[in-house]
Amino acid sequence: MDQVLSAPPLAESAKQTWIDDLPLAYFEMDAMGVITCANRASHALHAIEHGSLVGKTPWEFMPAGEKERSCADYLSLIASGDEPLVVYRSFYTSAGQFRVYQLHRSLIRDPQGRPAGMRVVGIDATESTRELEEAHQASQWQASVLASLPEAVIVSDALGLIHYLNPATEEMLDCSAAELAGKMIEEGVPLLFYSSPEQSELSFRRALQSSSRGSAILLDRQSRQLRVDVSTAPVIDQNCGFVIGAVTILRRISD
Amino acid sequence: MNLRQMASLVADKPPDKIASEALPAERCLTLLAEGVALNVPEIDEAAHKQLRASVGQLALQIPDRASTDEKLIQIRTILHEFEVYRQGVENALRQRQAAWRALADKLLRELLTRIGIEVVAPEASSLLIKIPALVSAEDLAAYQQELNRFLHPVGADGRVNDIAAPLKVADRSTANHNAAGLLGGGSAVEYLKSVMERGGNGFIAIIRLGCLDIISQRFGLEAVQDCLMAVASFLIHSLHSDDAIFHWSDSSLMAILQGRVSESIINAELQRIVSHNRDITVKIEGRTIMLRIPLTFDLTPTELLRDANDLYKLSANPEPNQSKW
Repeated sequence: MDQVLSAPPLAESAKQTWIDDLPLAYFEMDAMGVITCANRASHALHAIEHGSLVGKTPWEFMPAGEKERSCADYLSLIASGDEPLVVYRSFYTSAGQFRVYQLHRSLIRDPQGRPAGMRVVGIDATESTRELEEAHQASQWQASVLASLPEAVIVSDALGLIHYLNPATEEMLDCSAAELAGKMIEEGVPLLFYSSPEQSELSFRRALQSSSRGSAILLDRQSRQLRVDVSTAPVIDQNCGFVIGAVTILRRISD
Repeated sequence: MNLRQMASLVADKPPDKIASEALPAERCLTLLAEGVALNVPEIDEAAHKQLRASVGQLALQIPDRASTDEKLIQIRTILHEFEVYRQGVENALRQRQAAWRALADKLLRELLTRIGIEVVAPEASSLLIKIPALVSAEDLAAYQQELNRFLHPVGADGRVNDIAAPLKVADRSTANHNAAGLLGGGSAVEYLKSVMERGGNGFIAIIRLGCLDIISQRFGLEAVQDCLMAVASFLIHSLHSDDAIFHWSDSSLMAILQGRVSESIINAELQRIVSHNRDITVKIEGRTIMLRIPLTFDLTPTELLRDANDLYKLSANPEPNQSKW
């Protein structure tokens, strides 16, 4: 069965050609991190002729800030003998810019099973990591804006379960976000009284339909009554246009 | 008949077909009518407002030394307590309404079976949804007792009289609350019987939808049905064409997957389906609302079932070896 499933062994020369033709960067290093062989695609890392990567270390192509940490990590991996995880590293390339590579690695072991080096396949992940970083930054920025708002902001999903509340809400209701997360909004923010020119009651279902504004008395977590202005609006998914929740903004009115 | 087959039939079955049939099971119909007649008035919005106004007036008439603000606060506290009380009453009513609906569903299915109409006819379900019945707990219990006496009459010798109990011979699923969903509980059993008779092996997947109680409370039962249908439709398009999908209960669907051997592949397939299908859209007052619903599934090989009726045990007692997402 094993013979059927496993690929037939390649002749050394055939293997060399096969690896050399790989559309992905492939190289091997010895225990000290010196490159012992590299295929054609890996030479995109540096603008020199095929074969000249051999004898160098990958850290020579890394930005100064990554060199030391990456080298230390490599030596520690070789010493421990643990199978390495996938990592992301930046390399200076022949295009004259640093690009981020996702490195898939495995240890080369000597006949006694001791780590003798490493095989590395690198996949260019520059665009995806950049997009991920930008999305993360945008999300962080939005979270910071929400957290900085002086008004209390409460976001619930379309079922009415509280998903987010900002520090101003925590302060107003005298509770932590963790206490209210996952609670029904009526339970988390109980309104004793509500009035507005348009409607006599504020229901969550109504909040999903259209914006509303009014004044209310609510109970904080210590059962104290707070007089507030309440604004609600449906949260609409910008891609599909569907309502995915409701946002409630509370502003304290001085007694 | 499963959902896939039903989809093609829905269009050409007139909704008034049930009413136009002769009704030989008069007793069954009488019970159904009695159930509808057991209505109690629901707490309506006008009565609620009137009560709020009276409470407010009463509180304002208190000639004490309290300031107007303090009085207002007292009134609002009273109103808050009343809201809590009203919510409790409404929840109790809702529960009784659900119990009544399951009972009426059972009765109507018995009736339909007797007069030879396909039990899973979708019109039957939509008719039931429109019955606005709220009964007291006592009435409901008495009614249920009478129904049981009717379905399982006992002769003078203490033995069940088959001739006097024509509905007893109807599909067992109609007497099982797990199959009291809108469509196909009994059909699932019948379908599995035929699969097992043919010696076919496969798997039973029960897909459960969470948060349906919240959806029912917020948006009504039609939204719950929309959610079930959305998941069913996704299953129909995602599973193999010879897999059969059924409504199993008020909050679950059943898929009978035939001719599959690898549990791990089906597991992965179902995991993909439940992860893709958590966002379900429903139309509420003209707005499309996207609800994120937790979905779970249980998977059981049909070999573990002694016969098709064991299906009922699956939903009641999930086996430890069942896969859980």
